[in-house]
Amino acid sequence: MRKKIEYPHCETCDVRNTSIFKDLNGKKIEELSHSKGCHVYKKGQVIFYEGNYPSGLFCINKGKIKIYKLGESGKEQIVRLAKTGDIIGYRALVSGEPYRGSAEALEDAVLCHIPKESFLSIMQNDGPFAMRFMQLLCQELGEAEARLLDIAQKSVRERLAEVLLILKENFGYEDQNQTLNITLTREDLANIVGTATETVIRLLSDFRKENLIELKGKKIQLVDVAGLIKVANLLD
Amino acid sequence: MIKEHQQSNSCQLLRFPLFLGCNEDTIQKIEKIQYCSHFTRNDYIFKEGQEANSVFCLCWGKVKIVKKKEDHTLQIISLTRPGDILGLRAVISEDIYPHSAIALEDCAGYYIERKDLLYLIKNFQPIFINSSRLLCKEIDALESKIANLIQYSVSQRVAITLLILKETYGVDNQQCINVDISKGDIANMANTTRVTIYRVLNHFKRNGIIDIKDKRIRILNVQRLEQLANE
Repeated sequence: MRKKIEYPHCETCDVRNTSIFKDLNGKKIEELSHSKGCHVYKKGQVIFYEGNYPSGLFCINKGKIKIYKLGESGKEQIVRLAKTGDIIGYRALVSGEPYRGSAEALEDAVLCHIPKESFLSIMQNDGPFAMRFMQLLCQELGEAEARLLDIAQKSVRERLAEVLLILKENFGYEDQNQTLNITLTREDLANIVGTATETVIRLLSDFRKENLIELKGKKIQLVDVAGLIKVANLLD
Repeated sequence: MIKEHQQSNSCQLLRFPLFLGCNEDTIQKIEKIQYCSHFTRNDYIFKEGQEANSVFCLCWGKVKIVKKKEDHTLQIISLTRPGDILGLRAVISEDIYPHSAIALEDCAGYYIERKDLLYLIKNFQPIFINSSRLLCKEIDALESKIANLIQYSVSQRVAITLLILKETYGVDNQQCINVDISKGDIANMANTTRVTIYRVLNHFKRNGIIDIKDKRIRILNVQRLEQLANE
């Protein structure tokens, strides 16, 4: 039987300090907390589907979410991995267009749903918040551009090394042994890098032979970060 | 010529999606802070790495947005058309220009300085909403482009590129795509080499899908092109 969890309240939510809502003042936080909904998602459960219209945006209280597009052939392309404190589904909300990707829980997750009206009202009444939101869009645009350039000019091997480094930066290590704090299937990894699953498996085993990483089931341990940076051909 | 453009300023400004929903007063304010500039083919409107101190609102002409790659060749990020705002992201994030804007043909538009634009965004709700929407659309377009590069074959990518060019710039009464773009630029957009582009375009030509004359590409069979793109 599934246990009903207690709704996280925005006033006492410690995740909020890392989210876009961190600088909202007391009264607005209270309003936000009252207007939102909350739901627990099981691993593999879909949060929203590409092509549907949004009724609000989601703030991740717990868990990791993948956002992906489906290609003509039905192959997934993962466009983003979101973590605790991130908001998802906000672009469709602002542009008034359908979702451009689907969101699925990579592990059991808790997400708060903020209705469209509440979010737009905060945007209208809180200038600094609105500007912060816009900065977030700019940042995302920059990341998309970087990814486009990578795909246009880097080899699959370079891209895989870079993806491992980005995962480290976004999700960190789960222990002293520098094991990445995110569990992805080989297929997920292939869908992030933009290649075939077989290629990812082969390259990971190459990396292991070169003592760059160590593999324990689905877990990946980064042994030689400097070496990975070199393989990824990152200048900074 | 210049004078004529200055006279029709306010109707020009209303054509920009950025200023949609602004009232007469706001438009008049914007008119006061912008200044008009003209460029000829291959001119830089702004250059990658410079401090982003203004956005450029393109009134007429076509501009390509490019970024320098590690090997110092250029990658086309997007093509813009009249009504587009160039450099928006860099100005909002108070950064340097992450890419260059180069005129594909004679063009003209208005510069709006950073402090003025930020003032507009902070004080006029429609401009705030519009600029967020523009950023969202740019992200959407880039993500589709990434998915295209990863999932499609070369001939599919060339077909998609031709359809994008057609959608962006339209066709004249002879079904010629309304832009003088080099084969190198098309190769760049489809992420392939110039040699391959010649080969693929000739293949399309032999199959009666397109015709090429004086650098212009004429689309003879749109349905077939769409089929190729979706194969």
